[in-house]
Amino acid sequence: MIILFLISFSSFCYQALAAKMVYLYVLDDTAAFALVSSIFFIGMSRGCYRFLRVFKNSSSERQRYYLASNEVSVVLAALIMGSFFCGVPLLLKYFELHFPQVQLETLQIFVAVLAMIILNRLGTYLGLEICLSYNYQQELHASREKVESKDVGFAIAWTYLGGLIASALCAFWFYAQVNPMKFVLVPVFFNFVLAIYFVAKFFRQFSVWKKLRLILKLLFAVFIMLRFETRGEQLYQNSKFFLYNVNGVMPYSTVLDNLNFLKRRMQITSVASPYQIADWVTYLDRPKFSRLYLDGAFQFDTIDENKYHEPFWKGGLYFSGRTPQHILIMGGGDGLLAKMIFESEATSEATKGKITDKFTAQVIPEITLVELDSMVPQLANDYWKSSENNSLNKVKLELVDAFDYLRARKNQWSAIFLDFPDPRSAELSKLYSVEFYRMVKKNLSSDGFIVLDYPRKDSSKIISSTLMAAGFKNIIFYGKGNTFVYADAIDRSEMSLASLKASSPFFINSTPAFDIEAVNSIFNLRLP
Amino acid sequence: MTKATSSSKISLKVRQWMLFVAIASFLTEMILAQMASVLWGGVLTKYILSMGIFILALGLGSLYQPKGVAGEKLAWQQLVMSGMSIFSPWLVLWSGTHLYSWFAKFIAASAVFVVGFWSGMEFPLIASIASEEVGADFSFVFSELLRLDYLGMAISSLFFPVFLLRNIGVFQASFLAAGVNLFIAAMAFWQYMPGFRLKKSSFKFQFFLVLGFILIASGWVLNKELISLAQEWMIQ
Repeated sequence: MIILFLISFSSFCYQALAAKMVYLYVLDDTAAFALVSSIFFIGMSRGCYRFLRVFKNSSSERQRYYLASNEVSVVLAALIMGSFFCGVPLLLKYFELHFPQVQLETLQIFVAVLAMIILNRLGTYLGLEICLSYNYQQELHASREKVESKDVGFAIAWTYLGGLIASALCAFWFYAQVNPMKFVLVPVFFNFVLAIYFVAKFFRQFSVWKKLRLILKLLFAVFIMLRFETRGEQLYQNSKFFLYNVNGVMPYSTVLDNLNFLKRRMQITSVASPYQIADWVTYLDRPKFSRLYLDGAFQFDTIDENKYHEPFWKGGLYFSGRTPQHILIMGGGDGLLAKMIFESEATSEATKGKITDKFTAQVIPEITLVELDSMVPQLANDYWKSSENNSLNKVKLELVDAFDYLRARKNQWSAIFLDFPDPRSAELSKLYSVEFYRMVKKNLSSDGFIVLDYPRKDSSKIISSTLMAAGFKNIIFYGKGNTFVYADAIDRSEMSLASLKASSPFFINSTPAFDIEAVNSIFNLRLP
Repeated sequence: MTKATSSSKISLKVRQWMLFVAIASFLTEMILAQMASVLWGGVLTKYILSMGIFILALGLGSLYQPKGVAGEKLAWQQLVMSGMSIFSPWLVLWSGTHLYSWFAKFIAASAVFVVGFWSGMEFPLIASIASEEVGADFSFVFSELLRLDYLGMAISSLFFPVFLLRNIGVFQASFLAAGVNLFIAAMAFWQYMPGFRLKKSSFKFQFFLVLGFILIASGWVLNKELISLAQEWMIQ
């Protein structure tokens, strides 16, 4: 039962770690978890099938040999998976440099298929190992006449317990690390101990040739384990240089030379929280230019952040025609939108003097900033303090989930700015749902407004329909490059809205018509 | 009782049951995890925690041995499981939206635990039915059923987030899981309770079976109204 427990524990760990790494590369955790789980489970199912077809009726000696040998294969496959996921960008770059005639998309598909094969293979080894272990247990109870459900129950209970501990470890410890994949060594260690146990237990029963093969395989596993322990972390960190290379220049013909070239020009500092991994990238050949990436997704750079935050704030001022005094910012833990608000003046060129209430230093708005992850404001203080001008010290900071925060309140904010990451997962999608927008509306004053950054052009119909379903009447999509949505529930004539749009200093995008099928609900997702 | 050989085979019917039961159970698990993650923040840890409770309960449930004929027990187990698939997401949602803080989470965690515990009984029950067919071959029964269990999990884990959540939503997905459970309950009833049909308790079973089908059909048709109700609860 301990054997089943350990195998189940390791299989859940491998699955969860692979899912996290796939998420970091493809930025869609729904797809990552779904794909990894299904490929892994298919592999495990295949392992059970292989046991039934190949090993079930073979000799006891052969079954025991494979019980030991397959356990070492699990160790090797897990280490290959770990190394692969740590070095995917390096591998891709290698293919790019050596096969320039092949399109990048084709290479990406090839690498994805390779990942699936590795995952499926690991799942197959684990599925086979579970069946071989259970078969070994059966040999110990060979006198029984019938399968007792309590025997199966015990086996399943230990299997699930392994899964439980693995999922808790992944959630509370592994995922909150800069490189989650380095923890692949934890389940690998248990598999290795099991392999040693099986080899030692059955060693005398094997032929010389099989003994030799097993010893060589074990020594190879030790070698790979030590290599991964010393190089795994570095491999993953090196991969990031290629991911965050903004100008794309690769002057050399080998991956190693290009890596050294990038290392001389970039510095990457990585920090992790239970929610995400932050990479602060400094480009040494471009003074004052740094970029923030969260879970591999670009957030802002220190030179161009104004081009994003200025229309975000000033669009709200322009389309509402007033300067809000009670402002709620949700998700802007970097402090840059708050900084823009504090520094802004109503007479700026972007608003062309159309705002009646002049925003001056005498009228300082009350800003409440809601951020889920305490790491982001901490990073702001540590890395871009000069850029955000200590704005985080002037706001009321609430470290809580945005959805929970609004559900528990009924305020009268005059403006709410939603500065969330793109809805690339079911978790983030709820912050673009009709339920969330209704709560936002409930917390707005009657003449209040909201502004949000809308993720992609193809999502405008969903965003527009969802806002309308939540009760917002005037919805304006604006901005080029950085795109935003302004919405309020004020009664306005079609004509005044049209004239506002016509004289707008911002580029106006068309507002798609309402479509009930496009409404994004947490109970019926339309995004991502 | 003959010892199983390579020619021994678990019947197609039992293998299908295992596959569909695994699909329905894992689907219910993911629906509850989705509901918990919606209610208690965009936190991966909470999502995995609800999965963890479910998995622990599955393990404990697989240790619980109800007395009686496995086929009959499976029929009742699936009938109750069907009701749980329908109502448990609503209980989690209701507690999360109407009760405060720790008590809501306690109720929700208990719901997840009970569903997990109940669904944990499935594997040993089906294994017991399979062993009636093939005899004492432990590893054969275990491996064959585990294979189908994993396959069912693979199907659910792929289809729920990629297809079901986007196309039919949480509630219709829960009715789908309940429908699968109910269908297996009806099959097991038909197969294993011929003598049982004339007993008084058989009418109770048939009554709940019909009630279950009516509930599922109604819920499927009234999906939009149910979503509206859930939304009211969320924003009240």
